[in-house]
Amino acid sequence: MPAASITSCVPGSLILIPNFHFGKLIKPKYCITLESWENAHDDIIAVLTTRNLKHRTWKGALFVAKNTIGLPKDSLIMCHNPKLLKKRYFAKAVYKNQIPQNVLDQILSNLKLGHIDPFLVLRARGITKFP
Amino acid sequence: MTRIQSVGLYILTKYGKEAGTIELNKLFYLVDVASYRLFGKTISGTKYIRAEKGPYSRDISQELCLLEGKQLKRETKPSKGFSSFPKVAWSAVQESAAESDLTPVEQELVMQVLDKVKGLTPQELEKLAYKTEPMLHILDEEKKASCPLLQEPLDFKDVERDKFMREFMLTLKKPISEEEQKQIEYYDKEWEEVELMLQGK
Repeated sequence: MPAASITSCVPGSLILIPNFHFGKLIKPKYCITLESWENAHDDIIAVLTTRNLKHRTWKGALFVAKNTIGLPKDSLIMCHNPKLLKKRYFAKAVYKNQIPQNVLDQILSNLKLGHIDPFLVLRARGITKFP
Repeated sequence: MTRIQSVGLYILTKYGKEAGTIELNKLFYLVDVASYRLFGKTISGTKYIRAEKGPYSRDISQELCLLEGKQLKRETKPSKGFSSFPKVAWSAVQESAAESDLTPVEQELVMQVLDKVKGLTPQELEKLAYKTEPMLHILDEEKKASCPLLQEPLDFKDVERDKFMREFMLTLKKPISEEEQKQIEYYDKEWEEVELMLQGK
């Protein structure tokens, strides 16, 4: 698979990882090594990653988030392992309540990769209409 | 354990206080409505009828009685209201709180509903149940018939489905395709390279 450029990281290349089952398309240890993951997993509803090997930087992630899905910068919270960061790997946690419903739905609809766990979607969206 | 027993046990374990039979019926009903709205099916699988105090299912008490003295406790208390009937209060025995037969999705759904109704009185719960589509539909029918339609079954098809969730469940991928398998292998290889780099090899 050729390494894509940052600008080609369309929303479909974002992977949403269930917070405890983890996506089948990504090895658990790929992200489970994130130091703050264990403590923060209750609040995290998604981790944003890119497949891009050469440009896997925080700056790049913000660019992707901002330009391709219109996610506000402030809604992204860093959650990284220095070791991985050193090697230019990144993952970003998107906290619930900070993402507008329509943006979240857009992310979820645009996902082309991954087997998303309905649990994650339920946790992310909550009960939209009650009763 | 039947579905009703699993749901009842989970609700009572997480509710944090005892619940009367009518109150418990409302909680079951609200959970089932929320589940139907999102996933097109109820969690408990029970059928509800229109009773004097809103939605009711006979099966709930019958099924939960079988857990009495084991995972559940049932106490009969004198009624505080105008009713001459004693109040039956259900609660979970603490030791039973360990594991549930419900899936993580179902547990999450129950928890979200309980979170929404936290602190509500049984009367407020009843009001909430009356605001759901199946109850609104039957109230409408009652208006037309000019008489209460007690014992009439409630139709969950009246519940307005969540469009996004409906589409999501329809497009939820199950088997891994050949292309995705290739991607998995790609990530595996990629990770091995990173591990080697981290080890300084």
